[in-house]
Amino acid sequence: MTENERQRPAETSSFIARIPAAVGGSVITVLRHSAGLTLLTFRTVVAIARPRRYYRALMTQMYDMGIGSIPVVVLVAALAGAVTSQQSGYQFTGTVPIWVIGSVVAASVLTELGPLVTALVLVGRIGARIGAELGTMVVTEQVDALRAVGRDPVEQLVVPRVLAGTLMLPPLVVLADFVGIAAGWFGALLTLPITSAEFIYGVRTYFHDFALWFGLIKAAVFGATITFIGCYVGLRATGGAEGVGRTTTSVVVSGTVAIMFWDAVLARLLKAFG
Amino acid sequence: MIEIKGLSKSFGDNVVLDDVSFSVKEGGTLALFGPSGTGKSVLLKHIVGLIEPDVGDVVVDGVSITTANRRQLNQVRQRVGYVFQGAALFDSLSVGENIQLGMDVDGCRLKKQECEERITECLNLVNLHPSVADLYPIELSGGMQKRVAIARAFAGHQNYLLYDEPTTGLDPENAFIITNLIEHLSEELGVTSIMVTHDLDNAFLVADRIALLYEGKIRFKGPVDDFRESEDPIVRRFVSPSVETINAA
Repeated sequence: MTENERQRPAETSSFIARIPAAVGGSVITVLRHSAGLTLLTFRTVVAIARPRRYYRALMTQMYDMGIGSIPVVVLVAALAGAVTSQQSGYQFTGTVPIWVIGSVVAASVLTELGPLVTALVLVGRIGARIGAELGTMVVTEQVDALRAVGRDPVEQLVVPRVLAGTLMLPPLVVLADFVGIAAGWFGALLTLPITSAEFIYGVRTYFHDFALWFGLIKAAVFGATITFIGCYVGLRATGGAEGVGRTTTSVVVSGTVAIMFWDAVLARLLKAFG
Repeated sequence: MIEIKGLSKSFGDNVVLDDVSFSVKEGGTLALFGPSGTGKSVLLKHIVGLIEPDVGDVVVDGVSITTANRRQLNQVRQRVGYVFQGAALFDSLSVGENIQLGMDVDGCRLKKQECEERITECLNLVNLHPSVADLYPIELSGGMQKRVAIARAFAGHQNYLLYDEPTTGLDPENAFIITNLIEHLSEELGVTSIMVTHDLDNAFLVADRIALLYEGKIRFKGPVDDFRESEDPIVRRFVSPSVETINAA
């Protein structure tokens, strides 16, 4: 028996022995985060009842998240709308009536692309910023300083950000919807054998109020999710610059996963009600 | 009065504080001295409830920090100003707004005029020009940031001031300015100060009492002169480090 063959059973048994510990560790991590998220949710909901203490911060955050995000949201929505009309034109020309392109663009933008693309862009722009900002405040003891002067960090930092995200994402999505459909329309007119009347007919054929509400409800949920994850992960930052870097990455990854998760869940839920 | 009662704190297997007990009566300045990493800052954070002890209690003016509800804890925090090691000023707020935060839990309840006057008064006490109120922390030098942090700590007429390594990271000139400022404020405002430091010269300059935290326990507590003359070999090691080092060699 060679040396390698003698070592293999021991390595295998060692690997098997580590499995329960690894599984146990993962379960504990999941439980710890679940408890942390539940507690932060509870404290956030309780703190919302005291608007006098955070309204100034709320206004600042709403301006930053809303007005500050307009350029990137417009750009990405325009590209998404134009690409959708181009792709559907490529797929449908000669197979289905050309006005269907208008329906496809409206359906895609209102129910999926508008809310989802806006949310994914804002995970990077807002979620990462919140994570880095709060993470830096934690590692430079600014959060401790807030507590030391008798202020509640949830009230001062979390509530204004989560409320601002929840309130500002729906109007941004309305803007994204408008720009996306308009860009799809112009893109189609420039490159496809379709008239404005045909495109508008397609849009009006698909459009119903619920599609808009569907997108807005998703937008509010996405806005709350992005900002809440940014705050939760940011407030748990440890270490120095490296810790803040890890926090930012963690916010973007977990925020993206959470958005996709909510997108799948809400699609089922809202369609059941719609 | 601040009473530390049998305080113990561990982080994982690392025992930082081990059954620490002492009290700080009103008036004067106590230097909490000890080598780096012995838990001085951890002890200071227990006083305002920023860290919860594993065992023991901290009582500030009769209020137990470990059992206090949120309102009681905030009342204690209004009486205790805390100067953080890195100043910990809020980047997004101006100097004036930072100082205003220290005035009241619900913000400045004073009229705008009175509020501005108090900010100017606080800036004057830390030898900064009132125009600094409109600047942001990033526009200030390290020494100026420390002074603003001190102004924030006493802006609400606090009874106690806790300084966590107030001269760390400063050049000798700024460290001297801050040291003098702490001494001056202690006399001018009549507050009780606890200053964490690992700089014995600084402690001798400012404090009238010294507590030595060594290996998680209070090894010495008493007047500065008693500390200088102590025969305890551990105390001697800090009072005359060079002589002890030579003897040990």
